[in-house]
Amino acid sequence: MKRHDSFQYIPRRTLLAGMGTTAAGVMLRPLFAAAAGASPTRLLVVHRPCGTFLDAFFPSGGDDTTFTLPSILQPFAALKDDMVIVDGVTCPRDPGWPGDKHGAGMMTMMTGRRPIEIPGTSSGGDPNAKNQTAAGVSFDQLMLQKSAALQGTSTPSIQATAYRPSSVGLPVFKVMSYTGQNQPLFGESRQAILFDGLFGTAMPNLSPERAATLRAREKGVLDFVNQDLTRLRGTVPKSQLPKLDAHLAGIQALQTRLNASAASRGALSTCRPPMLAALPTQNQTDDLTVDEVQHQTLSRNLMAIILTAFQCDLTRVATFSFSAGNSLIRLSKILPNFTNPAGHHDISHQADQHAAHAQADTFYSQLLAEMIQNMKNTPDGDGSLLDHTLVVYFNECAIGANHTIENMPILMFGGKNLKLQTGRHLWFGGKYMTDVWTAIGSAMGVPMTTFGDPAFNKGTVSGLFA
Amino acid sequence: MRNILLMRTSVMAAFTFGASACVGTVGSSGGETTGPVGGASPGGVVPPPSSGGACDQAASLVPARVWRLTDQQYVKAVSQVFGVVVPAEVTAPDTQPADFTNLSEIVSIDSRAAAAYSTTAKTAALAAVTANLGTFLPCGASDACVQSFIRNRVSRAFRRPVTDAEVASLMSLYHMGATDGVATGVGLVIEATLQSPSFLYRTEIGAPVAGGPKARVSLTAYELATAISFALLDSVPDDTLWKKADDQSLLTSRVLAGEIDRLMALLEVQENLGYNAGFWLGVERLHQTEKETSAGYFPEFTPALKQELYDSSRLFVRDILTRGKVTDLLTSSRMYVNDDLARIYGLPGGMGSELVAMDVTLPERAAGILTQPAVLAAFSRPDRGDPIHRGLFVYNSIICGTTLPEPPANALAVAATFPTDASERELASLRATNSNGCGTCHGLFDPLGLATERYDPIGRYHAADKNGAPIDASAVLTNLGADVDGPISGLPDLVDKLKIGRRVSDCAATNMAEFVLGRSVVTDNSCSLQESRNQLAASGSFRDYFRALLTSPGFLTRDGEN
Repeated sequence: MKRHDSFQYIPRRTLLAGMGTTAAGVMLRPLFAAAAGASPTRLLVVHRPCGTFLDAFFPSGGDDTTFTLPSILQPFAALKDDMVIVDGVTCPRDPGWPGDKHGAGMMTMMTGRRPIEIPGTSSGGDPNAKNQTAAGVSFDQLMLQKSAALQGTSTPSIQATAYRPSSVGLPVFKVMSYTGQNQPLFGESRQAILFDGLFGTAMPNLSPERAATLRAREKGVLDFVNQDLTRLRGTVPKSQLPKLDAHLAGIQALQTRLNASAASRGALSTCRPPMLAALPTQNQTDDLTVDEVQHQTLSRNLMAIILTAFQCDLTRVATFSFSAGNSLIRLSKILPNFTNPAGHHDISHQADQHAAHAQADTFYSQLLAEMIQNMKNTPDGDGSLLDHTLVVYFNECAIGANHTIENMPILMFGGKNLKLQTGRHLWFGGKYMTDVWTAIGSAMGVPMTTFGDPAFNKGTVSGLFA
Repeated sequence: MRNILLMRTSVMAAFTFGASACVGTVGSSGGETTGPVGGASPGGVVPPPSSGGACDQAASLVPARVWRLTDQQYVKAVSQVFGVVVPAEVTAPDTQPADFTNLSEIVSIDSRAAAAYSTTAKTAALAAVTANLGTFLPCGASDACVQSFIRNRVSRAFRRPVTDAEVASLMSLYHMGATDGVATGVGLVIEATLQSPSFLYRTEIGAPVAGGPKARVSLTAYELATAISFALLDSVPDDTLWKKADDQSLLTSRVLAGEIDRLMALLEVQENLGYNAGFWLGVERLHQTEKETSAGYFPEFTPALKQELYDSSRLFVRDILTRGKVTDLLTSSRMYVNDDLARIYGLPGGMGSELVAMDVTLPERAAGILTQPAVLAAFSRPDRGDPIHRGLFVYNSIICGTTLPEPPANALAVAATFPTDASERELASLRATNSNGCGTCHGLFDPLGLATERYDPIGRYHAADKNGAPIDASAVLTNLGADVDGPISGLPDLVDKLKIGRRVSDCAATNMAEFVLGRSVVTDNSCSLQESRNQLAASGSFRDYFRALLTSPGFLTRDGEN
């Protein structure tokens, strides 16, 4: 197994932030973030699909600090004191709503609002309609919008997914982040694109003059594109404006990245990009799909990129999905002792296959545990990167077979600087995920009493943070 | 294309348009009826759209819009204009969705896609100037020659003449890069071109006006050429079509019809139509199909066989779309076969690895798309058959049955009470007869699937099971229409019933219109749609259908917004 932790990471936030106001109009990090070299707080939300086997996920017996880890959580044994098991939380969703349940699960967990149909489309009465989109902003993006302490990096936020088919087409199963109603941010599954976007524009080993020339050219190209977009925008019907506005935001993000790359260059001169394992290639004589062949390596690589982006302070907000609610990944092709031959989503609908459900969820526990451990091993400010990162790990369903919404299997990690009460199994019976989000938002300096649809808020949970 | 219930990756969103303006009388058809809609809803067959009576001659088929290129269109256009092939995944990975890829209201460009376009444009620009700089600048590196390159090539990428202002902007970009040499300068022009909305979006807004068109507008000659070209070639207009747009002659009906006939005769057009129809006819679903290949299951289903099956069915669909008749969809006994397929499917071989067209004499391969092994395999589970989804395929994609409601919340709980060792037929019977009402919907499509019971999960035919007992492929069709309902003894019987009337033809027309228009056409009162549909029913030829649709008045205009 190839990991990125063969590198020595040297956080250089102070240097980075110190380059604040070079280019005109560039917003870099607010000054207080750099004050005294304090580490910024980061937010990472991770999703894995298709529900779980609850009996093997939540501890039974013991009090909230002396519980025994059930089989799915065993991979987190060494991280028990960095973890909170969030029990009893309900997904803010009505199971009776038409539309795809995995999609609705993802959207409601992330936005706290009932999904809407993509404007201009109709489900045509199809009860499992896939033309759903989020009705509002997702929690990660809301935090980015509201919290100055999360802003100002060269890349505002990262969205990634290790499930390639999930990047195709409609947002329904796969998008975690929305900047607003029907404004999906699709997860990137191509490690090279994600890598280049974060580390590529830093242009190491160039003279400042040369780097400035190259940036001026890129700026020229983007200016031309921007001009054309503005012209076109003036000639289309209203119904078409959202498409072009999303594009405009995309171009602006590229401009921001370009403007910030002078600062990134300084940071990356000492903070090195991760070394990624080569993705295995598909062997035509095998019976594995490309997605199956690459699933583990791609997951590790994408998480390594996120880790380094946090560490180098190129971004402070990230969402990552291992796979989508319609996952076709056959874990039997990845794990030697996994016997059920069907794809993950199919297995989740085999109601009696508890062992397979537990085994599948344990597989993702293992991958996430590696990431969390690596964050814990990465020095950052006065502690570790994990200390300064709040990780939320969730699933779009509780039980996959019938897409249940009660007792959502949720974990949290890190957050020491926010005083997250780790090492506990906490029961929030009857509370919604929105009530967990409001607690997190308040802890992160964005006081809130509700998130999403007020009808799906019962009041902020207490006891999560000291 | 109808959504298929419970399919994991079916991503259809049915668009509605023009419904409120409908003045036609649904069901008052010019001769064809499909009988009752099965009593109480849900279910039944959609009454065929009106083909007579009042329809709106001038109705536009779609509203004014911008329409992002698909990744495949992007790759083809870059290749056609700048002579280089970029990796197939531009904005999305290479996995195929199980639906038309070109729906105009779904694809948009977010920051992730914008970043991907930026990266790809750099790659393409570098490759293009490395390989083709001499071709781009036949007159040398003078500013005049670079300007001429911009006017010629960038216009083709934009599918309209570039403006003087655009030439000036691109020239200043050129000069910015040219400090490192001509190639870098030209590369920068290409980079900007490939990220420009003028390249990335097709426009269907008529001559541009501020705020967008307010009333019905005609497509410009360039927009019309673009619309035809993307429908048939999936790429930008070729030289001939471009000239007809440039001199405006494309706006005359004679030239327009002539261009469509010319294009339809091109092999790449035939390949393209076959490929896109594969999203409707289940062929593209094969990509997402996996089989259990351990001993005792289907070890034959190797990646190589899967690819051969896919190629074979794609050729079959191509032939029907470009040379065949709509009736061939259910009655053709043609297969594309090589030695591998011959061995596994019991056909005469000896042709080597090349796929060769063969009119198969086996009766079990005589039901067109329904007996293509790729399609049978695509609608099966990894380790066993799947009459539900085979039935839904026929119900949704072949006869355009009405949209069905969701399985109720207790569906899985009910299914869990069925004996675990029950056969598919026994399960279907339990679904049909249990007191929870599963049969209301399953009764519509399960019988259609049961008619394929003699085909295993990789599409092989077995008259008898492993104990030698004949496999029962009989079924009783109910609530699909008086002319169809009743007992059938298997697939041939089913086909005999379905091919009556216009049911399959109209469903085919609806699906192909959705592909051409990038939107669904569930309801309409447009004479253009009705007449092209009638054309398909009358002549049976898809070629005639495409000609009728692409030359119809409704295809030449777009509705603005007040």
